Amino acid sequence: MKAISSIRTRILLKLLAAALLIFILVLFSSTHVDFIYTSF
Amino acid sequence: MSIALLSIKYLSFSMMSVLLVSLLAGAFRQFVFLSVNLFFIGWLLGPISALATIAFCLLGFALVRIHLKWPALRLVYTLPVFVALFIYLRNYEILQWIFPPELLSSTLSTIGLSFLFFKIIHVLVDAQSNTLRKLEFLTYLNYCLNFTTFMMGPIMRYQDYFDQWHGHKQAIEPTYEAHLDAVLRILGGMVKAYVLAGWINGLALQADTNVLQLSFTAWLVQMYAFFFYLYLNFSGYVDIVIGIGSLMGIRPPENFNKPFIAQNISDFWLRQHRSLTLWLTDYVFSPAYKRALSSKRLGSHPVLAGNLAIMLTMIVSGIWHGTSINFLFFGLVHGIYLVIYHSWDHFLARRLGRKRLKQLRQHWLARTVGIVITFNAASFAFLFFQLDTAHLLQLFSDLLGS
Repeated sequence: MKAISSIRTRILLKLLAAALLIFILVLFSSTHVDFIYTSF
Repeated sequence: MSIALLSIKYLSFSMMSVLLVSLLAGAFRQFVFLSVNLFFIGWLLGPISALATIAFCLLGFALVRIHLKWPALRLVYTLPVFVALFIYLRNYEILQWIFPPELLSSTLSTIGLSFLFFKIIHVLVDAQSNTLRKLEFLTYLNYCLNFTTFMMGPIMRYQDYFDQWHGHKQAIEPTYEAHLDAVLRILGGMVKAYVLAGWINGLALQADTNVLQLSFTAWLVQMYAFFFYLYLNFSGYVDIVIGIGSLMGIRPPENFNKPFIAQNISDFWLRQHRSLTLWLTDYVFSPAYKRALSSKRLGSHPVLAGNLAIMLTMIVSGIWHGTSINFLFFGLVHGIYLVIYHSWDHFLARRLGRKRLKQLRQHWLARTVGIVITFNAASFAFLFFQLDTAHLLQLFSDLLGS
């Protein structure tokens, strides 16, 4: 039971991290990025 | 490039591909993935360049089949044809000095061609040395054109791709958490490439920067910032494609492992663009070193043989990185670094013994000094990577003039 709860906590934290990353992307991402290695 | 990895178009395309490849099975899955890949390269390169790229893959396949059919045939009869075609298609700067413009292929888009070239060379050499296991036409085409790694790698090995595609090897654990990790990897990569790299690019050295007009501090800041920018830009992309590949069941290899804390230049290349380093080690350094050791002149001088093989490897690395002369300098500088490091290492090992040298390396002071020197040396070498040939030549002529 303890192990299941720990996995649930981990997943919840990861979902929160995903939401935070999406939030950062929506707020701060550049509209255009040149990927430097595509020219090789 | 014409495709933005953060665009709704690319994300929907990737997620649709993930669904199709995960849900389908058998030959139909191969055909669907091939259609996905062909659509992607047509979208990325345009029809003419996409056709040229497919023809390049097909020529590679024909050469691989020739080697499988006639195992005694040496690579010297097939490899130069392929290398010459690559040099022509890539339109190397040196060709412009030799041939008239109407004979050159400057109108073709060559995005991803260098990565494709190394993938096919790997299949060709492995076929000749009988280590390829099984060659399948559709698997080979999808390996070459795999949309996740087509543009900028990482350089996946055919055997690894084959095993994951046929389910002999799992890309990720079949758990909810592992899939969530893959999604987090994609989002983290996007933040690196689209937020952090964008911020730091404002500080970084630009291709047309006149380095001599900068103060020493400004030069240092721009040089270090370019190292971080390149890392965030490239490793961000790699995170995105590793995440997508993991969800699709074909996970590309890792390519970065904190290059800023490398303790020596050899360690740096195992942390920065690792898939390229391993490719160069297997297909340039090792054969060159073995050949040098078996020669009469160099056989009794293993350190010299090793250093010559290193220089050759880094020259190939430099030329592979770009078509202009500055990339040759980039390779040469790293070759010199590696030769100095290996010679110094050999000298210390003879003086102190391997055991004592190992103990010395573990000391915190030696580690810190190693990290500082490597970070500065790698940052300096990126000057040759970023500045275009005209600005680099101007820099050298000004330095020599003064």
